[in-house]
Amino acid sequence: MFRLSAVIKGIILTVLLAGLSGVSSLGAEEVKLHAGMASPVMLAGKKQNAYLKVSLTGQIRAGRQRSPVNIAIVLDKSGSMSGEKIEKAKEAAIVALRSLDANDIISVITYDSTVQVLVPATKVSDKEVLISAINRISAGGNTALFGGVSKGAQEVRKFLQKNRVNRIILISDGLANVGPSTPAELGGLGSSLIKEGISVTTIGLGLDYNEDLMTTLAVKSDGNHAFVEHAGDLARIFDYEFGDVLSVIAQAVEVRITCNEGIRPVRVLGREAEIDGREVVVILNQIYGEQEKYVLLEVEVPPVADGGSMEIASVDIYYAGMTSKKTKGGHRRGHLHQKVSATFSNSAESAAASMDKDVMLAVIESIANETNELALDLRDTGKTQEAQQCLNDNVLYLKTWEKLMNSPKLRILIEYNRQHSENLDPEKWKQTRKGMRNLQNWVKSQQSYNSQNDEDNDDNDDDKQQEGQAK
Amino acid sequence: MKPRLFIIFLLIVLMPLALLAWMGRRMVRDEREIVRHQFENLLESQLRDIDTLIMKFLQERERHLQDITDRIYSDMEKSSIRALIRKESIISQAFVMDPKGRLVYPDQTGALNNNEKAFLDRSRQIWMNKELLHLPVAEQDISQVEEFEPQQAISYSRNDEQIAQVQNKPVQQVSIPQNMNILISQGRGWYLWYWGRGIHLLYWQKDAYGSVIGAELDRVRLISDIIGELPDTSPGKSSFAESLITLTDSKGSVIYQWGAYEPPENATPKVSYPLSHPLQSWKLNYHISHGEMEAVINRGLWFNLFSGLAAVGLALVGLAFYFYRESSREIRQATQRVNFVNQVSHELKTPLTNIRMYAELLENELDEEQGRGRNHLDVIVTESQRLSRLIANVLTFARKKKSQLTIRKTPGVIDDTMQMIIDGFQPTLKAKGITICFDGNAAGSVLFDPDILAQIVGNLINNVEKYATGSGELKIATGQEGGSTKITIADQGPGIPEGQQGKIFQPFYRLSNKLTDGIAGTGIGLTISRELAKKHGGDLRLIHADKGACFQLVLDTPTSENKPGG
Repeated sequence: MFRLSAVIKGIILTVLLAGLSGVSSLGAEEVKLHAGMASPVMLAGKKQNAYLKVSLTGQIRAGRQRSPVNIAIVLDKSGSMSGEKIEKAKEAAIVALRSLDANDIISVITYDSTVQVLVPATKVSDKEVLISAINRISAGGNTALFGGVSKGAQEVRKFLQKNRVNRIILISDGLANVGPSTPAELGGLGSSLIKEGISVTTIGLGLDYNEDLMTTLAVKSDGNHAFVEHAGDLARIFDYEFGDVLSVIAQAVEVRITCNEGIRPVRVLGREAEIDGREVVVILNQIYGEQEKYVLLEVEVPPVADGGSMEIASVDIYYAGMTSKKTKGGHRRGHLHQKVSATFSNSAESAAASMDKDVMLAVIESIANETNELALDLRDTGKTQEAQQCLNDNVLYLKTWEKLMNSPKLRILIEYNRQHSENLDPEKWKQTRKGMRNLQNWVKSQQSYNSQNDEDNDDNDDDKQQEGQAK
Repeated sequence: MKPRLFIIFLLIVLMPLALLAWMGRRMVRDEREIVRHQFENLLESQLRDIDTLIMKFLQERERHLQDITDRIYSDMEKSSIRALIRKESIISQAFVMDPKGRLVYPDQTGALNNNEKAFLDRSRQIWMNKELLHLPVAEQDISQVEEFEPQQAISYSRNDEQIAQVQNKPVQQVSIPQNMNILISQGRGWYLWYWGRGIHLLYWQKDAYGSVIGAELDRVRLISDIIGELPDTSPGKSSFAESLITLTDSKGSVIYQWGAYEPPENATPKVSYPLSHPLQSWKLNYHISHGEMEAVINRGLWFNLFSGLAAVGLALVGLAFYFYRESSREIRQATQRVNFVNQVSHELKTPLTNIRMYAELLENELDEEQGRGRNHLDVIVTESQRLSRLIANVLTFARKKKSQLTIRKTPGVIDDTMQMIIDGFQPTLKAKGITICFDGNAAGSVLFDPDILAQIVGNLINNVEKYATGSGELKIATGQEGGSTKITIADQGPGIPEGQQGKIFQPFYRLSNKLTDGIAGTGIGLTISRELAKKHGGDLRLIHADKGACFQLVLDTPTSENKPGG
């Protein structure tokens, strides 16, 4: 039997170790930078595409004081949430609330057809008042999701400070049907919010929510996304999310990769990026403690003679440190710098041997993810056959690499892709689609937790998984 | 008496109330229309306030955008513009256009990022038509500016009709530059176009050479921020419990709504209000539940009407009660007086009877010769007879009131009784200069009440004695026909004036003229006489006579089988 929780635990450990054993990082900073090529030794005398990975890991030091948070909990209380869902959501919100202290700011917004700012942004000083306000929520009505998030953003904006973790947590089980309600529009809102340093974490409940809407909003605003099929799992997911939020090390992270003369940036895998000539800019909203966030750049490298070496790019990271001392400007701007270079050889063996497994793994994950996305698009347009073929090819691709790398994460991806390819028929599609989106988003966002409860993996041991995640 | 009084008082209270209520209802109906109108005005003014709120917000955005475009003008490096766009959350893209209408940024010939591609895609029509070049900032505008004093500025306000008519044309403000170091703005304003899901807003500034620098507001973000500005559905925030305000876009779909009311599908709003430029295709709609609206409209009106009615009703009831109390007290007092008189009369009756009896006995015992004494005795007898009649009248009146009047018919001859009565009056009448001429034609034995006959005729003769002194002959005639007896009593006195003939039978009515002045009377004699006559199955009438008063008494006197005294 396939045990998701154990595997995830494994992955997280691996990722952590990889992050900790970073080869070269500059400065004893709270954020560790590691930039490297998938294969630092490349074949000589040939124009080729190569992958560059910029990896950022937050460091949690002993005695660290967490940064204060500024959270808006946006809770869907439309008719479909009535019963267990709303109760569990309330419980989860209350549990989350209890983990905050007087430096934190919280607001609670509920929406059905209209929006209610239940608790305007306020310091968490009197928890009991807030809890009783949350307890009074009851479900009924339509879903004005856009309005809810907008009001949430408005509340967060009241205390928008660079040294706070500014976040909206949206819990919904439905489709948006009042106000702007297309994934593009919600994504647009996410893109705009991230410019202000506000991320939206979306938690989809049940099987009826619009996963494109929820994931786009989360991805574009660099928030987390989780899909909770059973309301009972909500508290756990909320716990993870709060764990993330409370562990934020750096915010407003700008990754600037400047390619050297002759090197052409092709694209950034799985992330929004701005490529201008030889300069690539990627914005990450935050770096969590002991979690790796990375940027994968595909570059075109010109032919270089055997034995030669070439500087590929220089990487600059600018970020707002959360735990560092405040300067006059309010927050400190951190800067990390690293140069990436490659050597060239005629020997294919030495090139293969030089392969950085960690970077390559990220590349494979991203490519497999893109294939998975393509399959979803195909299935959406009714091309079930092609979609299945696409997924099967993906499984083969992943299996080939899995033999080489022996990676547990690749095994998870293989298993998921296999399951997806088997569950494309109409009666299972709704759930499979959510699973695919969730998987895609999990890989893309490089988020620590994944809430997917696959049908076949219902024997997941919650406690074990939680243990693994907490690590 | 009591129920009638009650009905009268009820009428006094209810009639004016009903009238007032009816008038009030009509007034309320008219008033309702006015109030409904005022109410709709109120709703509209609330929507106008919201519009003002949104426009204020847009003005802030305008200032922000002006700052952004100024900054672009000061540094037109591509990377700087890109960095600015990355940082500014409210805009989705910016552009720089040279005076010939060529885009300098984003440069279509160079490498574009996704954002820029998408922007060029959705704004293609603008660049193709070079619409921004033809913005209403012509050279003459600039020359106009120069003609004015430096402090003054030409500004076409939002409400300028010309501008409002041309929907797609931006509002322009031509103003004197405030900062010479930055953009020398020869025009600025909103430009709007429709693409994809709705309206896109672009803010532009034009420099002296005709270059246009602009920034596009992020459409979704704009909506989100406007939502942020608008109220939410917290209890107590809206003026009316069951109302909903919606903001709809150009397609009529709801962007945002607030209020604790779910209008039925496709319900038309009570009031709609389009937003001001540049969002004139958006509308604010006020939905309010019918019940709530009626309640609000009626609240004041019916309350006023009902409170008015209640006040008037209360006043009327108070007044009626006061009158009722007054009148009932008077009635009670009158009754007490009547009772008192009755009792006194009753008490007087027995001693008077004794006085009469003994006086008459004494009269019989006295010799004819004892003239003086006999004359005195006559006076006593007649005066006591008069007094008996008076008392009889009072008692009869009292009995009539109590409906205790009874008739006891006995067989007898009318003429005999008449003769007896006349004999009783002879001495006094003689003294007053009246001679009785009796023409008796009722000698048949009939059934009648001699006491009542005596009372009636006595009253009539008494009146003659009182009011027709010295009038000469008093004609009394009797006649019988069938079962009734007719008695006519005609004097030669002053008679009764025409106008008052109808009233003489009313109780306590006394003719007021020289004749009656100084003559005592109770005013109930004729009343009682007529009542008694009616009780006896007949009537007492005043009939026409050439001179004096002529009364005709008719009595029902069935023929008696037994001979009287037989």
